[in-house]
Amino acid sequence: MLRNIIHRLLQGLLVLYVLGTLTFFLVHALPYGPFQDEKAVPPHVMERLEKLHGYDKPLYTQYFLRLKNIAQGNLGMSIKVMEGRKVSDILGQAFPVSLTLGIIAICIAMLIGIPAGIFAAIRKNSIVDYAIMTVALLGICLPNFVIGPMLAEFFGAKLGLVPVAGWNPANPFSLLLPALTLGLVSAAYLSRLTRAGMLEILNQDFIRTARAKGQKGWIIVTRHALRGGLIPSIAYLGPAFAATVSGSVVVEAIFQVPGIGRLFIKAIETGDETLIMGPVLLYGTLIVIANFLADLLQIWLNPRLRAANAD
Amino acid sequence: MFFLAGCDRPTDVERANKDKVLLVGNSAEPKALDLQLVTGVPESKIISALFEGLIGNHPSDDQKMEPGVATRWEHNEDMTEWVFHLRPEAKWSDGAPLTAADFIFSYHRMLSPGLAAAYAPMLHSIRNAEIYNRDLRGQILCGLDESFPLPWEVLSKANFEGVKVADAEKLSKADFKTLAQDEKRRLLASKGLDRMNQAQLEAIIAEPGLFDWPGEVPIEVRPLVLQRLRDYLVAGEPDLFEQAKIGLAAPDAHTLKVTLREPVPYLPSMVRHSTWYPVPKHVILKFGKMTDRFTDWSLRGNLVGNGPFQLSEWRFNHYIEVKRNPHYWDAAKVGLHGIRFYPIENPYTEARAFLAGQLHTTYTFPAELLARARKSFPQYLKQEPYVGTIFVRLNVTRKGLEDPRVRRALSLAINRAEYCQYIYEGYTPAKSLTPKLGEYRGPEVLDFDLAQAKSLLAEAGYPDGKGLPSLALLTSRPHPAADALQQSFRALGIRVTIEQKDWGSYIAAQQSLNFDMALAGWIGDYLDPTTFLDMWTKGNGNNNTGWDSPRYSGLLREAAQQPDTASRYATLAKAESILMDEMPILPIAWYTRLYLHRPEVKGWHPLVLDNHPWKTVFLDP
Repeated sequence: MLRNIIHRLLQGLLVLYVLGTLTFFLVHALPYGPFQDEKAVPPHVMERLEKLHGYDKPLYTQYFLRLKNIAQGNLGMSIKVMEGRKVSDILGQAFPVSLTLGIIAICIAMLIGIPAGIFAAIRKNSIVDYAIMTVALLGICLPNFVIGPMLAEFFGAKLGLVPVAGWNPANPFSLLLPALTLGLVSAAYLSRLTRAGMLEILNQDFIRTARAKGQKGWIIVTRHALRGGLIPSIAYLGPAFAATVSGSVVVEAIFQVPGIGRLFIKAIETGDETLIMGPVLLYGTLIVIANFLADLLQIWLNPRLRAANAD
Repeated sequence: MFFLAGCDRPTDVERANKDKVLLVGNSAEPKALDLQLVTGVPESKIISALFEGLIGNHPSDDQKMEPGVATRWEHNEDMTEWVFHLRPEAKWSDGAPLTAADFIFSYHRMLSPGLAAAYAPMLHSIRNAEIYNRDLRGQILCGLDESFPLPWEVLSKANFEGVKVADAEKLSKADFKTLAQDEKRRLLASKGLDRMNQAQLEAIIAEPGLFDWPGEVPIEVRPLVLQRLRDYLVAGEPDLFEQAKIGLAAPDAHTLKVTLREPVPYLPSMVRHSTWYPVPKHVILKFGKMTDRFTDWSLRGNLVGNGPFQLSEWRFNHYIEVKRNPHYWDAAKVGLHGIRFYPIENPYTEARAFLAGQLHTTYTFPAELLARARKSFPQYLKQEPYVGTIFVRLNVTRKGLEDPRVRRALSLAINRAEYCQYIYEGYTPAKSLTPKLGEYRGPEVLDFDLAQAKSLLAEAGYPDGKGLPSLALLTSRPHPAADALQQSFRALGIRVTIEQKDWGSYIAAQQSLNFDMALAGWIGDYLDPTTFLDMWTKGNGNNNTGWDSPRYSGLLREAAQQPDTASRYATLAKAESILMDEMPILPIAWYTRLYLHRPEVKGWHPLVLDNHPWKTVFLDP
């Protein structure tokens, strides 16, 4: 087990190194640089800026300098979007927001998706099952830039229950719509995965045995089937959580949420290498960790895997 | 449900009305509030609440000059010397007195080459400001020194600023010592005397053959120039502000004297731009050197201004709040207790927020929702002229487009009235490049005439577009105007493809003349036609068309010498006629500013520069 964990950690580090290196060279291959502006930048200004940010050095020198700094935990300063501010400070302000949004969204997804999936599985091929699965399919198909404005229009503008935009930690209602928008897609996936997982388990011999022994329906579901039936959903939750936290760009724009997504897009548009690298490495780390935890959870839930890892 | 609890809460706007706080949609999170470094409109809105220039904006008339830090100002007959009398009671928001020395420090910082301020050219009309800002050290060290044996008119024939050399970039990356003799010569020529480093200057001193001098510069003067430049580098490149003899002086604490290199009758209008505002020396130097970029001086808790408001809250990507500045000289007249600027980038989100009572005024309003707005909430809709023009930039170095007849034909194929009816809804069809600006009227020549367009095209040798290569129209985002232009030009038989690039590549392609046609826009910075016309001169970084006309540049230079506004405008109109005749650009529409605005916001009037002075705005629900 321990060897497995160390192995995975080293793998994660390698992934991050390759990710960072690729990002660095791709950003430098962009046809534009961070110092240009909408209105022309005078050549002497350009020259001074390049010198200031080390862009006058050969590319490989810049690469090793960045590598050394990042290895020491120094992400550098934003070159353009928030020029002069430490990337770590910027992420420190924006990441908690993205993280909160992601956690609430994933909780909403689990609260809606898992019960719906279980319910659909129990009532297999009934009207209820079809209704839930149709809604879920819709949820998967409808992009969040459609769902978001619809929710805002209805709950915000029409009913006036929640603010249509803005992020105010003092008013928890302001977090609701963006989290719901973000969570619905995952809820839809989760319901389908849970349904499939539950159906597989419910058809197994040990469930039939339990039934034959006269066990009550809900006890069979909660005690015997749920643990195995949730395995596909758990496997999905890890990557889904990382994707939810990092993939909130559109939702952030629709609801004016001060997260990382919008900054990240701006950084890419302007070729702000340091401000691209920060979120890339942060998200990379997040995905590595989330996948790792999901694997652990799966092992814990699945007796067969647990046995295989027992050495 | 539990969130029904929110139901009877008053809206943000209702609460803000009570607190006299204006809620403003402001598009984007400012990257900083150092007014000398930021260039965006969202930043400038906040900065105009925190700072005040020599002259202020009038709440309802763009042409009227309101006293700002200066109570009055006067100029000499040819408008090259201006004296601003500053109000003695002017203070910074920390209570420190604001004097003429602060203005000189501010302009010194803005112009210093080390700060690398992108908008510094706004100050170039001050005498010698440009040579200092562009770090033309040869001219400062030798040209401005009266004791130098050779006058600058002659000496300037030498290669100070560098010439274009094909492999210059590669050569400059290599070690100078390892270069071959011929490579050294080429590299040195590409650098010019002003940009050489110590080793390079010393190489020429040792080996004069490495650098070409014009015959007018006597052999005995050459080492003198090299020596001065070398000594300057050895001394660690000290600031040349004093030696540059820049046209700024403070005869006393409350008098600022500005000497210009040419008459600028519109100087009062120009100094209303934020690049001319003062910055607090005592605060900037507390957080770093004068030329350090983006230090912490402009963050909350540190920033000190001189405007009607002061920075009270900066919540990252959430809002920025300003509160009344008790030290402001006209504090009694300030109508609001505070302003909150919300960085809402998505215009649809902004409109939703406005309609839900979260904002008093929006930054913009999407034109495609105009019909709905006119029907459902006309009381909020504002449509005001704005000094900006939408145009197509042509690359006149491309085959076909090098012929002015082809360019004129393209222009004649554009039905501007239709564009303004269906695509740029609410905009005004452009009649020339410069929109209506005070008394200035450009030549109103742009027309829609397909027959004439076709005959011009035939005359140029491309009947029905035959023989013309297909042209690519560059855009930065999908826009119906691109499709419309494709249709318009197809009527002439010209094939146009649409080439969409991301913002950075879109800009880069234009700056490197790597495009055929590009959909573009320009917003004026101050109320004078030169804000639209200067950019088409040769070498201007915003030209990007490959076009230049000595006659055009000549007329602009002539206008720059004319102190009388009427005759100056006549000259400028003549220049614009050349531009509209040669057509390196195809103006399409003059901007209209569309936004939503609540009726309880008073003291707010249409302004073409959209510089609403915050101090006169008040709330009357």
